Amino acid sequence: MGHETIQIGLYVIFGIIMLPVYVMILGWFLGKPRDFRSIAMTFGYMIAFVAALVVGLAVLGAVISFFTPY
Amino acid sequence: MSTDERTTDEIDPQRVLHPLKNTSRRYYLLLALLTVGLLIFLEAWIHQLTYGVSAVTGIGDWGIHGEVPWGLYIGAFVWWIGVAHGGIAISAAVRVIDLERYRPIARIAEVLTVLALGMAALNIVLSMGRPDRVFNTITQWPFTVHHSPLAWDIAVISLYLVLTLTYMTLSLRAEISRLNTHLPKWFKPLYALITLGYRPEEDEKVEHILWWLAVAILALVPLLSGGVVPWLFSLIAAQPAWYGAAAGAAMLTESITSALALVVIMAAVFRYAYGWDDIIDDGIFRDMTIILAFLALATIWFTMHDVLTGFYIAPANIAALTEGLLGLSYFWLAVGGLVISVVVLFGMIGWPDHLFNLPVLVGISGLLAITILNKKVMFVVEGLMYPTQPPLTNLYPTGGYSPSLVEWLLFLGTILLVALGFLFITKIIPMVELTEEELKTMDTTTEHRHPATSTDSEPTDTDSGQTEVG
Repeated sequence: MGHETIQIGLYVIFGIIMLPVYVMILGWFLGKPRDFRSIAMTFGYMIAFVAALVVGLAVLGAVISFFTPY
Repeated sequence: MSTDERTTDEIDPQRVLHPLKNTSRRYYLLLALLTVGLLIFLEAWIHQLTYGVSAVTGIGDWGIHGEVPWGLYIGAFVWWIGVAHGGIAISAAVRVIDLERYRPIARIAEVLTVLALGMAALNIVLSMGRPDRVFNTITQWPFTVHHSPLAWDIAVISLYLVLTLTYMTLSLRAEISRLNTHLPKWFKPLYALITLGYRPEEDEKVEHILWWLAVAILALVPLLSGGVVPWLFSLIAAQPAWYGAAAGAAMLTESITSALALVVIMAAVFRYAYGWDDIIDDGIFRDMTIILAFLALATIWFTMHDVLTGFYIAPANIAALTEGLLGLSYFWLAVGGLVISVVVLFGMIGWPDHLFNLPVLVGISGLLAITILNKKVMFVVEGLMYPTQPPLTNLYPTGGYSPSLVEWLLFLGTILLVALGFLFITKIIPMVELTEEELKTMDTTTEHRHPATSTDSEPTDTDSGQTEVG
């Protein structure tokens, strides 16, 4: 018996899971005090953490490959 | 002073900074013990990497050869994810609902979240047949996200980690900036990153940004621990016991139970280690007892639903799985753990003067955390042992599973890594968030005591009236 592949991933991630994030970002921009510098700084930290995660995972994979004979 | 409740909202910052300035012999002893444990963990991991997961643990491989393909590592992954969510939820609730009373445990909960998320991810890596290809999860993500609940998990856990780290960093900016001269000089580069471009005028907006971050984090808890993680099981059509609309709610309840249990343990450890009896007072633990009691009761309630619906007139394969579950001694251990916890916790609530006791609460929290771990591993493994539908029935008729020594060592290693993480972070940031007013009192005290800006001022006896182990 096979399984039908249902392509709903993008809707799940960007349509449901990310909703609180959209609301949060709206809150940052619409709420007072208006201070776009602090918002930009927050985005900067978030991008830096994403980059650190991606690079960290690449480094982890590379380090592990030293110990694996396959 | 009575430890029942703090008599004032203000916390003496010198007491909070004590661990950053002082290191006791007991700290070094604990560090040495954990380092030995870390070496054992690394040895076990290298052993597993060298010989392969399947050869070392007996865990099978989805789609290649037949054996139970998930075991303790995946159970531990679900457990750590749950711990992570409850931790930051406490901290976020403190900010969103303005629960000032619980501020002393908020940062401990935040740190627990970051460390627990790391351990959840590590358990996935431990379970991978080819962990050297772990980066493929990122490079292949644009293609797998459309259909793979595993890819959703990667996305949402990463999102959660980024939000939590951003939350912690922002909440530390003003504090680190004000405390800079009192903090260890070895971590100056890290403090410089945290306070990059800091201006006192930003405080009000950063507080506003933090409030919204906390709202988003709270909203994401049911979407992650009660969403993509249960979907990881219920959507991949591997075994009937993973289905059910209540799976998300049940998993979320168990998750928050184990998280609160670990927050209780860590808060008690900090209170004992640094003599913070009046900072993390009995009132906080009594409140956590009430929440923990109802969460444990809810966990029993969900278990009862699972068993009754699976046992009565259920579809044949679900009835068989439920019967299999009832035949497992681990299941009855879990039931026993839950019942004992509920009885003791409600006893503490009903007769607080006679029965409330912090060491017992810590013991019960430990029992609950282990019980939830047991339930998570059973949830993952039980149905995999008795496959009833493809793709598993194409792979093996009946499987068995018992964690090997290497699996135990590696799982225990993740707990040890969290302990090590706490040990290090305690020396880097204040473990209790300090308010603007408290920081001001410290400026005054410092000017009075040390007119020069000293980075490593020796604490005086007046820093704390309690016995502290550094």
